Amino acid sequence: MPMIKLQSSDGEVFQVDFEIAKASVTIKTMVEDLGLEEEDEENVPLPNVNPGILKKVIQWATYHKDDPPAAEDDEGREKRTDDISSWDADFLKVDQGTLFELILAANYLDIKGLLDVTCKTVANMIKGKTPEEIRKTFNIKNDFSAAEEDQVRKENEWCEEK
Amino acid sequence: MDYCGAIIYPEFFPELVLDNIFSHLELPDLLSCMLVCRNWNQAINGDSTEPWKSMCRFQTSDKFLNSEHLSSMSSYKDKLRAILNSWNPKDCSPNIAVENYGFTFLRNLVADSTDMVRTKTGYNTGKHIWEITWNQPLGTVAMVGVSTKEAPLQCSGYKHLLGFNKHSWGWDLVGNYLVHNEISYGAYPLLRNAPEYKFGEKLLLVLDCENGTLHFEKCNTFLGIAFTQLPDTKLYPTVSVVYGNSNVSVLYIGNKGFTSRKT
Repeated sequence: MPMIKLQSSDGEVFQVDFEIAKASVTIKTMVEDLGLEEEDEENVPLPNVNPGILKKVIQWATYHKDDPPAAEDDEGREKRTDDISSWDADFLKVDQGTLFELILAANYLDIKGLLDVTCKTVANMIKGKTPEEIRKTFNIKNDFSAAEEDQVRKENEWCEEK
Repeated sequence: MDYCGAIIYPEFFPELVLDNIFSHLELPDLLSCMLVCRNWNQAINGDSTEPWKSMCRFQTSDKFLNSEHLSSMSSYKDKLRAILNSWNPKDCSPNIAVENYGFTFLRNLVADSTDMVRTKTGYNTGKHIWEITWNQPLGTVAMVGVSTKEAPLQCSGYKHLLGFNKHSWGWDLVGNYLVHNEISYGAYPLLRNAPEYKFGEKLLLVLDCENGTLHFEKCNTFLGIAFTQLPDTKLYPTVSVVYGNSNVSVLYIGNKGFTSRKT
């Protein structure tokens, strides 16, 4: 089975089955663009991904290697967020910093399945909370002036009901 | 486990990531997110259309989003707002069938009944404009105005149901006068020789909660302030009809170009 070598931000190299690494559109494109072939000595540099996160991403992609390919079309993207598999839920039982790093890695590596499930996890942390509770949960500073906040609230008042 | 990366600020997640997160939320949660910080508000209400598009698709079909009812709305947010400000199938007389996701309704052929329908969203702040059009003849009583949730939605006979008690304010388009709390509030429009309303004509209903007033416009003509001193409770655009095949459409057009009017 062809293997490729992924090099994380600190230079650590991970040998991964190419079939698994292909879950990342970014890696797939890089391999094609670099013209890498089987048994090639060259590493695929991933300077934006630290080794701990890369390890997690590989773990996720390995478990999901036989998943059907994600639909290209987002039509009717489901609102439901209660359909996270128990394996993914366990996998994502990490601290918030790690969850955020996984999101950025999934975004950078262009792994749709991983991005969807991590974003759903964040959406679940938002649901039912007030703006102040959301800020507290994610340690976000309120940079609105009182007048600006009032303006946004007024303009979007119709979103409250239903 | 901590992977000792740099601190990540979720308020500055890339647009694609924020779009994905927000697309999984329903409207009240999306509102909360707009109010979290400037950057999230910008991500939702700026140039990106993704969260609104996803919300629209959740409410209706792609086919309907491109239909004539919504074609005049340029953004998905405007389309969604129009959908959520249209007739409410859960807040109407049993003789009324709300159609096209709320943009029109049809009154069944029932004798001796007056039937009413409210829109989905009520307001007690801001200024708001709806376009209301009778697509069929008016019958003997056809009323347009506002009501609170307390106003009854059906009664027997052909009556001024909108204006029947203190919870509703109506203009009878046939008799050309205003009714509130069962009392006639005088002739309307407040114009000399005002032409009668004919079905097919578009009326603008303008609810100004800041000044507590309601007025109407037709063909760019201001018809005068209909009601003043409206209460500080949520008011819903409402029509009451008696004609067998009454079909009335509604379109929320926001408050663009609105200027406050004085009597």
